[in-house]
Amino acid sequence: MLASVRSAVLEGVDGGIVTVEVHVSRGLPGYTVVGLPDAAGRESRERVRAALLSSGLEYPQQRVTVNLAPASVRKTGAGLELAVALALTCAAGGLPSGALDRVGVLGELGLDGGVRPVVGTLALVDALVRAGVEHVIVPAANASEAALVPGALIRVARTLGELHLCLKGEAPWPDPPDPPPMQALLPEGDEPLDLADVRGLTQARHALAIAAAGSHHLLMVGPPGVGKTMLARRLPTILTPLDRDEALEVTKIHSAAGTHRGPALRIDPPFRQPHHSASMVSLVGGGSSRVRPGEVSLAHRGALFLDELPEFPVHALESLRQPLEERVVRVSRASGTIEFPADFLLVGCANPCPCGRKVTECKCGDVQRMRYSRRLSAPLLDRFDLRIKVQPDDGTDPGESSAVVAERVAAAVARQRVRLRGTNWRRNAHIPAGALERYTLLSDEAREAWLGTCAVRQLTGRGAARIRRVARTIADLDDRIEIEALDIDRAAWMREDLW
Amino acid sequence: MSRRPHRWERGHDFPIRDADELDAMFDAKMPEVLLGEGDRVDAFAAPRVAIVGTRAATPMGIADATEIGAFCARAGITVISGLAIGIDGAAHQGALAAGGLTVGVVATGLDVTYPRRHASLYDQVREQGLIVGENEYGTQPLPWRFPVRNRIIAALADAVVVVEATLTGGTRITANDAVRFNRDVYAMPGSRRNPAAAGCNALLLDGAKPLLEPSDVLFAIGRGGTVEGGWTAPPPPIDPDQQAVLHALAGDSATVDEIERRVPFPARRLGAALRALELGGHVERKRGLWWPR
Repeated sequence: MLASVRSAVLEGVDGGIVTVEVHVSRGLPGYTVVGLPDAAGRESRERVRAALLSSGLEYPQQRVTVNLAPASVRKTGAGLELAVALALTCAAGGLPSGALDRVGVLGELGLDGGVRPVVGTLALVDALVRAGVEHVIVPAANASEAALVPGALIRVARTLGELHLCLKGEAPWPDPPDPPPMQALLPEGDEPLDLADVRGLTQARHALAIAAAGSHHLLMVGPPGVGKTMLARRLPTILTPLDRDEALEVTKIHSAAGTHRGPALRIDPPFRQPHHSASMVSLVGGGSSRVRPGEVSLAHRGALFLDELPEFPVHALESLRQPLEERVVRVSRASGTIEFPADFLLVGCANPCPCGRKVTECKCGDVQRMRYSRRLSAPLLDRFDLRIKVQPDDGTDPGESSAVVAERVAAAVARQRVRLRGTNWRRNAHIPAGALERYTLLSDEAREAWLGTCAVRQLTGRGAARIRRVARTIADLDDRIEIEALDIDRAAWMREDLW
Repeated sequence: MSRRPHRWERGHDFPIRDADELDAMFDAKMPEVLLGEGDRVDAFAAPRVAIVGTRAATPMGIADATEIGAFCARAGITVISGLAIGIDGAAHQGALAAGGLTVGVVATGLDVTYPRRHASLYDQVREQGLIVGENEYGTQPLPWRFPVRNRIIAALADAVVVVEATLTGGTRITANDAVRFNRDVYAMPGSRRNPAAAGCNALLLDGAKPLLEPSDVLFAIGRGGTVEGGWTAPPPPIDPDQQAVLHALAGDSATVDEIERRVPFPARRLGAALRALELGGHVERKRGLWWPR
């Protein structure tokens, strides 16, 4: 008369365990769901009923109460339906009473009894495995993604009828899937981009490589048409592929957000470029019913490219300050606070004035320029380690190709991994000021240059530290152990006041 | 802060020389009454030089206007300008910093501050000089009032110095008025690549006198040749690397990329040279570029 089974729902990008309890008792036939389901959860009654009947299973003509525990947490989505259907069958006597012990169930139902995929499989299966279930039953479409979770024993559900037979032991389980390969998701239909497409712009190319290697946020300001956007869009071609742990993190987030395509574990760092009409919630995450990760989390371990930076809503830009500093986003709602990872590289482009014409044709007054530049606050600008002016350049030399630069960047990343092993910091940009003396060795000349630069520019401690970190990355790209004076100089030259 | 009002009428120490004759000669009517506010009525007793120019000034122009303003102040000349951003504001600032007298001619009512961000400059000018205008209190800034105002700047001054001007800006109007009113016009020559110098070069072509040193303005008030030079910029550097960088800049702004390509030595010597030049006041960084001073 009573049965329960474990399932999970998304809380942010992590899974939260839900115990689905079904009670069948005498009384007027009816079906009640309690435990804060959303609209999809309440509607699930019709799908559960139709799916059971289509699969030739019994739908009890009795009083059915479904409880989703913990009762105080809001559940979103239809991913609990399969669990409800199985528990209901069990409670009505269609399954032996122990059949659902130590099993986790995920899946949405179709009216024909088919099992439909859910979003966030990776996070949900992970949560169930941690909660100690032995087997996780997942929709066939999610099976290979679920197989990525270490230690998970996956059982594939294609239809409710087949699943019922398997659980009763009257049919063999379908073959579990192989874990999918680690693979880069290439953008479809686009011509392959390459840095060699960009001519001239020596300093900007160098800055892009530094940004990619050391995770230094980059701001490029220059007249329209000069090649800022073209350069930034080629950033993915030089980013270093993710290692397995990073790839799992990234895939988990994208799976939860519904932006993950295909079964593979993606090893290409995400590259997100939201349009400048993006709202604050879409950038940092949030939402009223289900809290979703924003662009900063979708760009986790990758890059976030904001073209036309001053055109973004000011409060949306300012909301980036905390994730830029802490590399996580905490979204607080009345129902609780959810933490999203947000370790991303920010690349911004901006025109010097609102009109977007060439320098010779621009008629923007001083006041308009000031007003335009004020849209980027000083604290936000300060978080860009690299701030460069991109000038029209008649250089025609094609410059290095992406493959060459990517190799150098990968070597620099490898150096950083070795140097920062055992710390919480992944890249040079993350080294806190207190640890700089230990992790960024300066030659005597470099120290002189560094102190000299600080004195001439009257830098604050924070500005001085940023120059030093960038200099470390420049030296890494050049495969040198010690930072030289020119590294400091170059770092300082790439941190200008642009307005 | 004082807002002592003043009122000058034709016939009683009217500060515009030959106002009646100017009226007779041109249709550009001089005002019958000039209103003023400020602590130093004696500003009009000294010789007066107007320092004007574009609002879209380069950092070099700003530096030059400041220096010329300061030079005039030290020479006991009252600096007249229009309190606008860019060259005008810099000229006032230079005069104020050197402890001299300065007069701001506004196109609005005396109680209206335009541009707003010059509010503190307005206050300083009231303390160390005067703010004058022909419009009644409450008159708002309208585009057509500024060229009209410019005729008063030209008429009040004994000579007009144009530091930087675009080809189409209101500074040309001031200079034309000055020529018509028989005031000397000086213009600073500039590079053909600098759009903010094009107006000055055009003025020179039309017969304006070149201003190569601040002391050149002394000729206009009959004290020419009494002071040498006048630029206070530091002496040129002796270090060959630093000299090479200044040559590479060639009086214009440039990115480090460009400088690096133009200097004859490897980049690792560039950092020290640029640092020394910046420290010595020979170059400054603004708007993402390096500018000679």
